[in-house]
Amino acid sequence: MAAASPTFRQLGPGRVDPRPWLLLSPCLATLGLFFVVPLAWLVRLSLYERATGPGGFYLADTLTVEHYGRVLTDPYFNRLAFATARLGLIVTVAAMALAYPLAAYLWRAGPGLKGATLLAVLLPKFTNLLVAMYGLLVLLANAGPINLVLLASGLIREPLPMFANLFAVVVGETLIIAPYPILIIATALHGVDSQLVDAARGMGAGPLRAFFEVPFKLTLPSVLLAALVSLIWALGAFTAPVVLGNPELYPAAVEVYTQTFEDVNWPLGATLAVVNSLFVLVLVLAAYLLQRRIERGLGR
Amino acid sequence: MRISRRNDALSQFSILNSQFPAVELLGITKRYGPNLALDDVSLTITPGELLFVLGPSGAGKSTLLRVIGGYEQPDAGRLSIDGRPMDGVPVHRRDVGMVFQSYALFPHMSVEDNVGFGLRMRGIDGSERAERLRWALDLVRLEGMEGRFPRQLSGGQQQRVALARSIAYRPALLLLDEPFASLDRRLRDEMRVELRQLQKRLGIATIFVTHDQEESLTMADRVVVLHRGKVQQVAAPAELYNSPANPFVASFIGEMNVMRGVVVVANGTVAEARVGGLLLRIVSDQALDEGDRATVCLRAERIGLHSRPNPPSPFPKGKGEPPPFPLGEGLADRSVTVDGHVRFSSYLGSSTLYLVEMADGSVLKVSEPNAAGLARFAPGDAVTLSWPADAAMVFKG
Repeated sequence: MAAASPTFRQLGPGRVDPRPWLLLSPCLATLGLFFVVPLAWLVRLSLYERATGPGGFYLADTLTVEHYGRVLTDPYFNRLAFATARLGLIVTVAAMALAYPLAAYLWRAGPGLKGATLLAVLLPKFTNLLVAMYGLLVLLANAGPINLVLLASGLIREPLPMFANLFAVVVGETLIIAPYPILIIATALHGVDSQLVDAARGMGAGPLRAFFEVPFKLTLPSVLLAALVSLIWALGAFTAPVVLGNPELYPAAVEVYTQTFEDVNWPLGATLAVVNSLFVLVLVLAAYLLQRRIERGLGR
Repeated sequence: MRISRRNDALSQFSILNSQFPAVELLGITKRYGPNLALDDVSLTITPGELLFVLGPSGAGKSTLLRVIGGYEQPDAGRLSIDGRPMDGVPVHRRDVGMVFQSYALFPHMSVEDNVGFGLRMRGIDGSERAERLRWALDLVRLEGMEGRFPRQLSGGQQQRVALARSIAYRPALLLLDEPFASLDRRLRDEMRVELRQLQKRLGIATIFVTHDQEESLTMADRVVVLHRGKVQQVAAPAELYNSPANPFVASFIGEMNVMRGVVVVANGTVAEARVGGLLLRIVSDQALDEGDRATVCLRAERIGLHSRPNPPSPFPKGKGEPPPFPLGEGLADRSVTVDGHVRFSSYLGSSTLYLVEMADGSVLKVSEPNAAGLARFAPGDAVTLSWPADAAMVFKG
């Protein structure tokens, strides 16, 4: 910590400065009440037996791990895990492929263009999520503008199948997620002195090599963070698969909803949610360890 | 200052025997919108020369460096390095080393990787790379620092890394953009001596940009004075100091009194000029005529100070005309004396800078060495100023 930046006073042993806790309490209370408590309840819920008759969602006073066994071994749920992971990976790659070039553009753009581009990046976020997805549905439909133009130009004879399939889901989900990696990487690049590129060029690096050796390597930890954020979001995809996909493509989040509210199997829905969350937690830990390795490599 | 000796490396600088100028600029012009950053700049830098580019901020110094380095394209003019025309040659093919004011060290690379970067970009590896690395680190006395990262180094050490990095691949030309600007005074003085010796040993043509006139006078082979994108003068330091080409150069270097006046009586190159409310004897190197406008530049250290009884000041401040000066009478006398009062003094240790107000209210800067370690005069003291008439430089117009 720099000496000039004010920190909370140390009051000595046994005395606690109340101010940091005052500042933290609204968030801590909200997080505890509406996240930690329900999460604990979710875990407990996943260990109940399913209620068979009407009038209940689970059998009180039971304790079983049968739902975990089913989620981990049933081929149906294995296919679900595969579909979820596949969608997550494709969307992450797509979002990152959009994000890095755009962030690099923002790095070098003048203030006017930069502002306009940032606005364009954030614009989809100003729209209601469902409205955006239905808009996409209209755009990608067999009778939508894209197919009409392609048919009229004679490039295709039959409409391209662009909705109710993986393509549509990836487009929709990427649209939702891409702003986050763009902003994360743009912020990281913003902190890189462009004179470093000049220096690399002067020492004999071509334009691409210079970019790769300096700004790209310097922003690697942020690239990893951006990819992780994208992946976590994509693993929780719900709206785009429901609006733009078909039941075969439904990922875990949709299945949690189906099990809980349509099949009224609360314990199984809870189990799916817990397994999904644990998987994400493992990913975050792995990414954290990888990031530490990269930063050590970067000499931080 | 010690610099380790590895003279074997010197012979590897083939440019020492080059028949071409290290750099040649012909009519280089660069515009930014309506502003002329460089206005028809022509320059020749000889192999092994340490050339300084001196000017106030905004003079176009950095633009000149960036044009030579290839970071900016000139709008007009020709540039060649070591006889090779640079039209269309990108930065990374120019074989130029550059040290930036901010050093621009790569924060994610160790000292070794920073210094070895240029070698890696040239595909030099293995034992040759190791040998050249050792050579470069040795030159700037950074042995044993290979594994450190820039943030673990002091400002002076970072400066050395930047220098080692730019010479490790033995470029044909070294460009330095205010490299010592962020060092403290003592370190800067050390680095000046060190860099000067290093540059001479390597025999590498070097262009050093600075706004610090002292730096350019102490280090340069030749100095280019740049102002508003135009070359004002190219000269060795002593010539620049003693024979400035114009009032700008004269006033930019050293403590200078610049006075504007009109020639009243002239006899060839000797004349009397009315400057403010004073008549001053001046000697020019050009013939002067009555009515000529003249800019008189007089260095603060060329003026002598003599004490004078205080109370009966002949010219009470702000009142009366100066006594009638016998016009033309003293043209043969080659010294000038004027009375005044010390208004302000600034003690600088080895010398004192006085502001002396004369009868007509104008103020001259006078610098005097402190013979006894103390200032001789205090504000309010009545003094007589004197200087040889030919000590003042006279520019017509």
